Amino acid sequence: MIKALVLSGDGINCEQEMTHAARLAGFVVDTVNINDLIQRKFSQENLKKEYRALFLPGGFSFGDHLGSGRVLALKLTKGLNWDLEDFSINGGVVLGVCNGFQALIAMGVFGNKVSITHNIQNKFINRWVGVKKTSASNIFLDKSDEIYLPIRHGEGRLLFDSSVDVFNSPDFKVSLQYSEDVNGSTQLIAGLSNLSGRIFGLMPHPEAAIRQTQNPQWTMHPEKAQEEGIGMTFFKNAYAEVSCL
Amino acid sequence: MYNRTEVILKKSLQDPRGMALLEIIKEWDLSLSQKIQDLRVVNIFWTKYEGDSSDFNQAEKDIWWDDVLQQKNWPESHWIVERELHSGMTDNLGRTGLEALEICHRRELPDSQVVSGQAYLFVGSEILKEDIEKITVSFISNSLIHCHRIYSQDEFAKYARFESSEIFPKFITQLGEVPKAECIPILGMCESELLELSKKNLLSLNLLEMKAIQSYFITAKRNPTDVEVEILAQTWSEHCKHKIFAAVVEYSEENFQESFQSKNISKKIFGLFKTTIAGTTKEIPKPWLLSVFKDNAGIVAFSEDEAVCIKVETHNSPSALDPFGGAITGIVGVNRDILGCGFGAKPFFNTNVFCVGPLEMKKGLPVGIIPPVQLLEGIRSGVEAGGNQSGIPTVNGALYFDASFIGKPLVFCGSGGIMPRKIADKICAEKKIENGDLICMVGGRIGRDGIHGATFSSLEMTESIPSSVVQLGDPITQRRMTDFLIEARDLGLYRTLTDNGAGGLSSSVGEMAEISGGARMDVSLAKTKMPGLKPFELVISESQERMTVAVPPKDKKAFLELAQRRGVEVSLLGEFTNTGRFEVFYAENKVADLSLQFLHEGAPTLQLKAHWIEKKPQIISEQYNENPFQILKAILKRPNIRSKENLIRQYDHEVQGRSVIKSLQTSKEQRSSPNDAAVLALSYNNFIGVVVGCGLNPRLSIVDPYIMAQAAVDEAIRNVLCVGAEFSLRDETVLSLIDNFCWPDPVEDAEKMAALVRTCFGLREACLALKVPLISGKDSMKNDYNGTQNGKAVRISVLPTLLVTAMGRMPDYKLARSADFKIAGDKVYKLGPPQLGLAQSEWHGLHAEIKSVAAAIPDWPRALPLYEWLGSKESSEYLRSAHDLSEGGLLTALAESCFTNNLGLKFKSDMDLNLAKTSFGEGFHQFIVSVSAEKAATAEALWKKNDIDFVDIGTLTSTPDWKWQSQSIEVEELYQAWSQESL
Repeated sequence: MIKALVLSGDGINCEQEMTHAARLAGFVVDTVNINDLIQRKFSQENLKKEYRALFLPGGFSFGDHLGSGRVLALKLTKGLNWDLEDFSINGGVVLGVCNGFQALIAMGVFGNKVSITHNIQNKFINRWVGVKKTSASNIFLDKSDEIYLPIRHGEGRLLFDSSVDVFNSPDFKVSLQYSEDVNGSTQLIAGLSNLSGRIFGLMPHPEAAIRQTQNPQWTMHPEKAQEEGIGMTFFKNAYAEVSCL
Repeated sequence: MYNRTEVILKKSLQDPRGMALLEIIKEWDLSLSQKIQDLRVVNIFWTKYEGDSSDFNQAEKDIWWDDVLQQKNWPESHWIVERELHSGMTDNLGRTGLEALEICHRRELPDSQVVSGQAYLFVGSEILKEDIEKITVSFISNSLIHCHRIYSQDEFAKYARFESSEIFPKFITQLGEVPKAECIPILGMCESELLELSKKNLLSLNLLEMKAIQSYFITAKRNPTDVEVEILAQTWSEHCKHKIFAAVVEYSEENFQESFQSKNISKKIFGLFKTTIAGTTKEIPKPWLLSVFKDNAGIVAFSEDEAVCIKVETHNSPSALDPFGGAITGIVGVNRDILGCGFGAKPFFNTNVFCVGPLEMKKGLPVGIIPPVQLLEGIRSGVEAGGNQSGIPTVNGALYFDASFIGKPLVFCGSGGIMPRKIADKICAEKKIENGDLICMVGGRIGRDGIHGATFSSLEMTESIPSSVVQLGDPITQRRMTDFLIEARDLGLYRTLTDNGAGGLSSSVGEMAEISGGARMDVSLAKTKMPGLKPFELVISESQERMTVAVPPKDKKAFLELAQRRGVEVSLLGEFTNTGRFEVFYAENKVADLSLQFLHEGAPTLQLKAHWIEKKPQIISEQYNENPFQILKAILKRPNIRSKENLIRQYDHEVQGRSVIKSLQTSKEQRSSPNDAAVLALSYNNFIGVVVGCGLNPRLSIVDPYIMAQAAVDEAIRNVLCVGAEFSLRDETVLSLIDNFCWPDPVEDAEKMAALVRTCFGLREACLALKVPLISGKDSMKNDYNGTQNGKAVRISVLPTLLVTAMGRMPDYKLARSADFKIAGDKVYKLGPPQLGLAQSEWHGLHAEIKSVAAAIPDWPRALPLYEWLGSKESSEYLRSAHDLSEGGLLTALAESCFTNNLGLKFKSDMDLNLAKTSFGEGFHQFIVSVSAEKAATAEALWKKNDIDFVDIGTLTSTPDWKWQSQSIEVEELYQAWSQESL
């Protein structure tokens, strides 16, 4: 039995569909409110012992009032003292989607020379967009074909300190790029991973692309309506990675 | 200590917020905007902190500082506008700031406080003070909710902004006076004094009602308190009591020609609601109707285990004053209706429909009216924030422009929820309360915001508005409350619940008290945003994000404990009783003691007159257009038709992962066209689809509201049939309607009342013809503006408007259809009886000089075979696309279907496109479908066999142009016309 933890509460919104996707991939999933983890003093040791995968879903934690993902990150670091790098070295994998990615950035998982802010058009945007995996290793993605995923965010523009060479950073790897400029993000970056590729954060929502009937063009091919969506790849690869340990 | 934190974006980075505001100013006044070289926004947080500064400095850095994005230095600028919310209003950023401080300290900080604000920095040496003042009051500071200060560069340099003396006045301090209830000396009042009291206290009660209250207290041998009078006014308000829909109406007609069907209208109506709404549903009972018209929302069984509830609300008056705040509280308010429906449901979709004035109306507007451009942006962003932040997808809607909506816009907010049909042995569609159950107020705190919302919305708009009626939304508090209550529901920790909306506690507790037979509460125990609230304010405040929950005493501990873990506040106010009384205390003082029977049944019934003058018979002459494709181009640019993509994409329409058919059908090349209705997955574990669509056509009420109502029903039904909702006359077909009436005040106006009567009977006619029940609805009856324009008195009333929302089911959503044409070579057909007309059509809007055109009338019996076929599984084997023919007529529908995949169309040369009615007629029952060439012959045979009208229109081509006889046009040209100025 391989267990995954999906965080919920405080304005995280996508825990249901994230839980469903992880279950479809084979994980036994606990969806737990972050306040319960704090009350149970669920430490780094507990995390490592109980779970092989941690999923941080999208949403509007704390209303994004002080910057997206910012207060959630404070809660994870101050309230739980989690060290995700250590979790990943010890066999765990972490996926942060949208607000979950923003929280990973605010936690400093990708160093302190990266930040994420309002889309250049200052608008929330919901559309599907082509994204491509880079050559950086990333356990969630196996091929470098362009895939098509939904984005739904108002703050997806990644910015870096001017000293950073984004494709050669000691703190992170660029893992995923948009095929067009959707929000003004530096170098069309859609997702970052840690150096080992076991912690991955991205703005697009793989958990909202797990059945073909979610794809905006699915009615062109009604005969394929039964099929699963491309987003399942992320969850299946994560499962394969941690189950072969 | 006191502190000021400034969050300043680095000068080297573009500031999207500043740029967006500059865009708006540019739209509004180009020459003024050209004086502005740069515009940036700084977030400010003022903190009252109970510890010392060294602790604070570390926390401040952790919470607010960002190396990559921020700088410490205040940027140079010529003008600075600093603004914050009036104290006591919901300050979301401030509250989160305090929460972050508490997270950093790992404990609560009861004596600390954070207040948020913004500074707008204008660079441009030519900008004058009066320019800044104009911009500030137009776009930055709404005096109902904000206070602001304007500084020149020099003044700002002198502003000691980091000094405690400048900071501490921002925080609320205790008031000296102990709040108490006032006695209202009603016993000795004469008629004019009674009316004066109603007016002065914003009670919006008429003389008969005031006299009923007076005689109740004469019998009780005492004067009432202000709390009692307010409770009665809220409960009896038009908003809560729907007095017009309960009135006895005498209906008469004049000039009556051989008008169709409407002979069914009764001459004396004992309650329009009872006879035409609830009465209609009673005549078409369905086994899947679990709860209609008695709860916060209608509840429908969708499967063995799951039920769906739906409600559509309006928030017109609040949105007219503060578009953002009005719309966001509209959407989170209707979400609470869902949360408080039955034993509690989880919202899984939102809808929105806006009716606003034309966007080009910018200057010279009546006093107090917000220009439509700004208003639309405000309500749009309110719905965006309310839905997106709460994690509820916005899946369907409409936008309708007409000059009649300039005075009061219509803002419809809808929501659907999902609930299990049973939890343990509890039937979730029912509400129960026992004597002794505790009254718990859950979620947000009470403030002075939203006082008199219910009674205010029962009055017409004037230039003078009390600021207390405005409410601000706080989606994150509501989101936490929702998570908590759904969890508590599944654990069985409460008996039932309802939301605090219009009328606040007076309505929620007052209504719940009817179930147990009484209630007793002490409002001094309620948690508040500010000290010093009077008892009547506590009772009627409509402060948001609150639910009232009945908790059995045995579950109190577990309920409170879970609430605390979920970061949700609970105020224990008292208990439900069976005494037949509604008793309110403020500490030990009794401030209200009313008989429940009088409260709920004591309001006198209204007697209204309705008189309909039939318009003179119209001279019907055929209208021709030489070049239909050029007319089409003009129609595609019209605001009601034009692309709404910009708006739609700012709503999250996919959160929760249920999306099957989206509002827009989009190609990989990002070309979009509208779909007719939304399809959502009911659950992750089966393929049952929930279909949501809507219909409205207010302008037809100029012709005849009787037709207007039927057109709204037909459009809503057509929309859900397009995407594949099931339909038949059999009982097992799950399809239901929600009716929302927005009316100009009909009380003293027999013609407007007659319009209401005719609408109700039109609605009834359509429902009975299709055997589709109404399950929920709402009315808003005072949509008039009374004020001045260019120094003259004006009254602006909205068009009588009925919005119909349809909610249907698909047994298998994998068979859903989209509206786009798919493959070149497919055949295109028009299906349905040709019940079309030009009166009040988009074509008519282009040809306003032509008065004498006819409106369409429905032919329900002839449409039924088609609807049954479209609503059957068989149709999915034939149809590659389906789109309804609505605003803009046939050519508009065809153009929209061509856009997504950029396909051309070769029309059959015998099509009479020169006839305006054929190309641009609007009305009833018609659809555009595409069928593969191989299946076309069998499809035609099938239609013939089933008595379905069809017209062969032509064939799709891969060359993206339209060809008809000698005329042609590129699809791209049409697409540009439609999408270039997307709203």
